[in-house]
Amino acid sequence: MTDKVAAVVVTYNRVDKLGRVLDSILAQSRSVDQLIVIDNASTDSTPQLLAVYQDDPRVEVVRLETNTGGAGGFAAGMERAYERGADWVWIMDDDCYTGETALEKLMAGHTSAEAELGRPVPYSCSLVRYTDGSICEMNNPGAAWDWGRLIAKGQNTVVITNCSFVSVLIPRRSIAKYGLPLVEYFIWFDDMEYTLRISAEGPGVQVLDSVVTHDMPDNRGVNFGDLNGSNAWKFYYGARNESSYRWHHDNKLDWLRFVVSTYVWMRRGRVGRRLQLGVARRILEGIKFNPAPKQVRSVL
Amino acid sequence: MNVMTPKEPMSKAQLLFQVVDDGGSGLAGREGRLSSREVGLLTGALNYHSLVRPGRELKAIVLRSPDGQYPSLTDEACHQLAWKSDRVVVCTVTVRSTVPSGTPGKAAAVPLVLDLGGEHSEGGKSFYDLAGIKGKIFKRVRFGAPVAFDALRQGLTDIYEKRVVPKRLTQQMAAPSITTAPAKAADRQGPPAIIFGLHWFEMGGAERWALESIALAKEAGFLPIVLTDRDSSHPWIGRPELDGAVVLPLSFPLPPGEEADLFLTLLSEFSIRGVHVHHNGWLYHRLTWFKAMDPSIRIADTLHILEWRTGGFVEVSVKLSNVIDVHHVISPQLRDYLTLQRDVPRSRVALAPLYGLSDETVVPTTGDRPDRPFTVSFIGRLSQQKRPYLFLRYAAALKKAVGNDVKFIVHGDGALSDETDALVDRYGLAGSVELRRPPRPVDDTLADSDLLVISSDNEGLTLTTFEATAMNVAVLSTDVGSQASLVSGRALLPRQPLAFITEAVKLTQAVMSSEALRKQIIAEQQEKITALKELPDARGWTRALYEGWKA
Repeated sequence: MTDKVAAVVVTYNRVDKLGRVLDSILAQSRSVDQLIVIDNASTDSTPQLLAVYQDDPRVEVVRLETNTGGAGGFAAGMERAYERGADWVWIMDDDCYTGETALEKLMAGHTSAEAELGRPVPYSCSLVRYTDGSICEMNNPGAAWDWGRLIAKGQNTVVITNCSFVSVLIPRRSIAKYGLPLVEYFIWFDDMEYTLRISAEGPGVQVLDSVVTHDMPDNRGVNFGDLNGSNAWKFYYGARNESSYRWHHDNKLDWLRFVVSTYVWMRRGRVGRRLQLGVARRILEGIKFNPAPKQVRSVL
Repeated sequence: MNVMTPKEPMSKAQLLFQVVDDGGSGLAGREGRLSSREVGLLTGALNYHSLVRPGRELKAIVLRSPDGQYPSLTDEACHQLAWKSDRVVVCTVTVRSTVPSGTPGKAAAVPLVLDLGGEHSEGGKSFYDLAGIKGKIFKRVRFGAPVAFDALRQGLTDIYEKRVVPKRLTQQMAAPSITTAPAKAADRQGPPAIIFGLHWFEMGGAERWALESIALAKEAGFLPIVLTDRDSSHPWIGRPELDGAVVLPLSFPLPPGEEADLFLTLLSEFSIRGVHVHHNGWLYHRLTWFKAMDPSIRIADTLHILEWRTGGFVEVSVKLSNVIDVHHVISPQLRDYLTLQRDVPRSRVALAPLYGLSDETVVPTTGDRPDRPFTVSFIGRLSQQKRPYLFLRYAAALKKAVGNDVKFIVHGDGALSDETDALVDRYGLAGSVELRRPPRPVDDTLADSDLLVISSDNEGLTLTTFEATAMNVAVLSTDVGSQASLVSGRALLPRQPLAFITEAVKLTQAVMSSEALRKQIIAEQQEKITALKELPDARGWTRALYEGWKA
């Protein structure tokens, strides 16, 4: 029997790009069996756009009552896909245009990597480009110490420790064993925590032949030096979530390293004292904050 | 080999012996001193002894025990010529094994003592059935405060599931690497046969399916050889599905050497094409022997339920997985557990759900519910697993919340019948709860119900939910086993008793005040069942399996 692949897109007020994202998924050379769109309670004309896709039997739109952030949206979509019997869940943001063979190459690369490594691979991700064809600064995965292991065997695939939720293919096994992303994280570091968590038996891979484009406003990575009054809410989530992860699931030394580097970035970026204190408070919050992942149930 | 087919009213199972003197037992087909169930047990015992002593004459003293005592049909006690004072000698029978003997010449008759046990000795033991003073205290607490005791027990289960189960490592049997050419089916002697392993012949979902698969094997032209490994009075030993089968209700321990004699005779006298295990731990652990003796023998098992804490037969099956050709599972939960949690290859796991036969036509919900008090039902065995006491506690809490606008029906029978009767009064439910017992049809109760509440501690895929859906009854259920495959996501309730009561009362109140919600829940049940029915069904899958075993 052929494996069932469900694509999951989480969207929030991005109607101008969403249509192109969905069209690129539906036009894959290896067709998706299901496309689950999680509308995170968008307030723009997203529902009207999504109504156009309702005729495609592969498309299922789930509109959440409130905005649950990327973490809540991906958790809801992955849970839905799992309960519908998906063997693979392919997740991405609403500004990710997939190359025509992205899924086909991802699946082939994943299978080849498993065969070569002789163990289950917890996830695989695509190479993420910016709109001008260069590497997308924000979506560079962490390379494993033996990153070239599969390249040495002729595969165009890199061994990685973690990645962001932009074209990630997750086998059913990982979701069954390790549950869903942490809804409580809301935004930021949810992807890092999840890909690290599901890598307990060995790291994931980046399949370089599988290519997607991330249509962000600017091609730059983020650090705490960019913190300002208008984006502080996002950084606060990041500070709390990473602190929580490092304290509870990593080690205390890495937690300390994270605290120091955050301080250094803020100093370098000349972030105001009030905002620095706000970050410090969230870092302390992270010590008490330790949500447990929701486990999935088999329905079909 | 001579096989005798007896006349009514005796057992219609295959006889592997000739009756020399039935001693008034009824074994030879005449009216006798034994009930038809007892004749079934005696036939099974004599079949076993005929197989381990081919061609010999067997002189059996037949005993009957007081109620509640288990039969002793094949164990070491059958060769001891003394018995307990409360056993009554019912008759003495003489038979001659018709299983061909390799040793020519006459041999002395074999004396046997076969204890048929007493009535009502079924159901096995519950966790509270302990001996001695400890058992007395345990039972007092269990029955004195059933819900509080259950809360404690579920709490322990949670700890165990969280801390112990994830670390469980099953030592799998090594995969066989047999180099000898497998025997061709056509080369084997005797009628083509399938060995079935059952827990017992008692009422239960797994047993019902096991008997159905035995009937399917007969339809496919196989002789079923049916072994059980649990003590019981085997009330279902006379079921028509067993007609024509070789029935062997084993009691343990078997005398030294007899196990090998039994299996070697089965292999030499019958063309064993396959082994199908339905909840039989003893046979599971002998599958490696069968596979080693003859690699061409196909092996399958059917798994129904994943037990808390131990995993039950599912874990035994994982251990033996390397010698099992195919695991038949009845629910997506079991498929995922085997393939994703225990890494059994997907190619060896077949999901083929077991549906009820009475739910074939799902009638879409039309109109509003009948004009009567809102009726909530419990349907199922009154057993620890189903937790009728929890249902009654919930009923009491609901009654307190909504007054007399609600009525309850408890439909079932079982080991907790007395407790259920007593709790109706103790919880102040007299007049609000109607107790119904089998053989009253379940359909009657569903026709009178608006809501079915399943309070079980664990489940497989409940046939009652299929039936309820077919009759437009909404189902609230604990989120256990495979219930999520059938029940609406919003109607799944926590397993922990106190949380169950709170959530179930809240949800029932919501359903009572919104017919639209009740219909949405039913619609989701219908949707899930429709999706499930697109999978191969257990009957069709098993038919095809046995067809494949003919080659």
